[in-house]
Amino acid sequence: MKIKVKFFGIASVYFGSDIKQMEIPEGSAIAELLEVIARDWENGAKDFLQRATFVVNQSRADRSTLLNNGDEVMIMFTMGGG
Amino acid sequence: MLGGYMGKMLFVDLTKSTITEKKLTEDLAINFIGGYGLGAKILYDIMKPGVKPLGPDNVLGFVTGPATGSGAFFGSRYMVVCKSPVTNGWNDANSGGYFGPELKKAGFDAIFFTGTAEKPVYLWINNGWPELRNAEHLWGKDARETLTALIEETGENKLRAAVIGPAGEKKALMAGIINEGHRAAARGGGGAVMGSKKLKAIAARGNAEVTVANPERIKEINRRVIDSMKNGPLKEPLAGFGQQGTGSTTSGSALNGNTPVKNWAGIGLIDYGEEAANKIGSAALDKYKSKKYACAHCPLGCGAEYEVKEGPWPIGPTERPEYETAAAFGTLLLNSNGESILKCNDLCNRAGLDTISTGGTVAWAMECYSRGLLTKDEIDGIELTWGNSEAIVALTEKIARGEGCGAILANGSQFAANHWGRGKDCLQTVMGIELPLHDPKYAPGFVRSYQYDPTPGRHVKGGLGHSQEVGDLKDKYNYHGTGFLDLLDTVNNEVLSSAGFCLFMDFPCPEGLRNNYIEAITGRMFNMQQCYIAGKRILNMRHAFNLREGFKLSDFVVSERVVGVTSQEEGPLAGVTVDNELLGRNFFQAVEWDPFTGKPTLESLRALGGLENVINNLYGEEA
Repeated sequence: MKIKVKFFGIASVYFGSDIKQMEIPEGSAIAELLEVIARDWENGAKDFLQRATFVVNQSRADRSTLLNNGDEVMIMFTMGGG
Repeated sequence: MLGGYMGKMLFVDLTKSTITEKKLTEDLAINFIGGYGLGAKILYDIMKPGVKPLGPDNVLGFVTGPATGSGAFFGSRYMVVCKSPVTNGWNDANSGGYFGPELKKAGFDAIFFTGTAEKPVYLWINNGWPELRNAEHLWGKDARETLTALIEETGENKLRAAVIGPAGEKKALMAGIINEGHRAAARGGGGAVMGSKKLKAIAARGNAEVTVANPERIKEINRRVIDSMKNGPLKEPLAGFGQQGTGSTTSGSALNGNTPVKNWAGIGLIDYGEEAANKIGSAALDKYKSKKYACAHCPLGCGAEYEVKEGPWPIGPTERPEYETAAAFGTLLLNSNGESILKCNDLCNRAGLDTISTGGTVAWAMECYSRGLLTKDEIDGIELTWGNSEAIVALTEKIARGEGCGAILANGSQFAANHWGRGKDCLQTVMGIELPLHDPKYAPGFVRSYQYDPTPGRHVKGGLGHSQEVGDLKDKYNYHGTGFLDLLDTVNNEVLSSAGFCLFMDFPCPEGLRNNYIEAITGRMFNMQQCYIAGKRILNMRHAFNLREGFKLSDFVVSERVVGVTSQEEGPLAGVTVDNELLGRNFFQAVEWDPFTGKPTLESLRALGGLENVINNLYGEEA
C-alpha cells in the first residue's frame, strides 16, 4: 500500500521536507514504516526515529498504529526542554 | 571540604551595606548538594514565613552546584532562589552560560542578599574580594548595556555578570535575571525581587580553580560522553540538536499537539497549520544565524547567535529563540512571523523579562481583546488580533518599557486580570504564573509537575512529561500506578539541577554517568540510593517552604483548558481529558505527602535526615 510521509523540524533537514510516497506491505503499522525508512536512508535514520512522534491523518498515533492505503503520516522529532 | 565546592558563601545585607563570609559546611553540601537544594535549606533557616516578596526581608540567593565550573560536561548552571512575588511561595529559576562557573572562580559557591539598598548598587567580586559599588549610573540600562558598562568600568574583559534590566528595576513581576545578555534565570519574578533590593548586578571575575576530587575520572567520563555523542544510539538527533538547539523541535511540536495553540484553546494542525509551523522552527530561522553558542563545559552547544540586518525589526547580535520562546510568541498567539518572534525575544532579554510569561500574558490579552473583554483604548490603541505580528511586537515593546498598558501587563496575566477585573476565564496559569509550552493533553505527566511541584508551572522539573513526549499512547494515557516512576524522575532531576548540571545532559549521558560525575567531583560515594534520598530531601525542603507559608495542595489549581475538561473535538488531542487529580494522588502517595494538607509523614522526614527544622515546624512537640 502507498503511504504519504512528511518530516518536520530537524528531521526535514535530514530526510527532506518534500512529501514522500512510501510503499509498505498491507496491514503494516508505523513500526514497519519506520523500518522501511531506516532501510532507505541507512546511516543515522534509525537514530532519528528513536525520538520520533507521529500524527496520522491529523490524529494521534504511535508505533503500533495500523496504517491504511493513502494514509498521511507526519513524523516529528522531540528532544524535550527549551 | 568535598571536591567541587569553594567552601564559602557570602551573605550581603543591602540595608546595612555589610558583607559576611560564611563557611559552607560539609553537612550542608552532602545533604542539599547545591543549587536550589542548598538555596531552599538556607532560605528556610534564615527567612520567616509571611515576608513580603518585594520587601527587605525576602532573601535572594544565587547558588551554584558542585558540578558548576568543575570541568564536568554540562556543569554550567547557577540558580536564583527567593520567595516569588508571583506565587507568594517558593521560587527557583536557573541559568547556564558562564556566570555560575565565574562566581566559583571568584571564590564563592553562593551569595544571599537581604535588605534593600538605599541607592542602586552592584556587587563586584574580584578574585575573592567582594565589594558593593554604586550602580546609579547603570540604572535604566538594558541587560546587554549593563554588561558592557560593567566590563568598561572594571577593565575586566572576562568579567561575567547576572543583571536585571529595566523590567526588574520597575519590579515588574515577570522580570527575570539575565547573564551574558541572553541566558536567563527568568521565571517567578526573581528580577523583581532583585530590583526591589536596588541590586542592579552581580559581577564576578576570578582565577581560582574549582578543586575536584578526581580530575582524571572526570576527564574519563567526559570522553565517554563524547564517545556516546559520536557513536551512541542518539548520535544523529544529538548532532541535529547541537546544530539547531531546542528550536529543532518547534515546528513538529506545533502540529503534533505538544505545543499549546491560541492561548491553549486551539488545535495546531487546524488553527495554525503546517506552513506557519515550518516558519518558526530553527530550520527556517537559522538563516539569521551568525555563530554557534555553547554554555561553559558543554559539548552539545545548543545555542546560537542571530543577526537580523533588514526588514521591520533589524536587530544586532541576539540569541536564537528557544523552543519555549518561539512557541510563546508563535503558536500561542497564532503568529508565524519569525522576525517578530526574534524581536520579542530580544526585547525580553534586554528588558530582563521572562519570555514564557510575557508570551502567555500577550496571549491572555489577545483572547480578552478578541472577546471584547479589553477595549482598544485599554491596550493603547493596539489592534491585538490573533497572529498580528506588528501588534505583538508593539505590545511586547510596551511591556518591556513598562509604558501605558505595558506597565500593567508586565506584572503578568493574573495581575492584569485582577487590575481590569476581567478575563479571569482566559487565564492559563497555576498559582498565578503562566504555563510553559508543553501541553499535558499531549504528555499528561507535565500536569503533575506544573500543578504540584513546589515551584509550580515549570517544564524543567522532573516527572513523566518529557519521557511521554515520545511515549506510546497506551502508556502515557494510563493514569494508574504512575507515582513511583514520577517520583523517581523528579528526585533525579532535583539532584541534577542542584548539582549545577544542565537538563540536556540526560540525552548523551549513558545511564548513571551523572552520579559518576558527582562521585568524581566530590570524592564521596554517590549511588542511586543516595541520589534518591538526596533528591527526595531537596524536594521536601522546597515543599516545606510552601507549607510554612500556609499553602495546601488544594491551592495549586491548573486551568481547565490545560487538562481538557472540555476536550478538543478534532486533531491529535481529540477526546483527551487528563486525570490530573489521580496523577497528583499517585505522586503524593509515592512521596508520602498527605493528599489534602500536603504534610509529609513524620516517618518519611526522619528517614531522609537533615530536615530537623522542617520536622520541628510541622510536628513540633510531637516529634
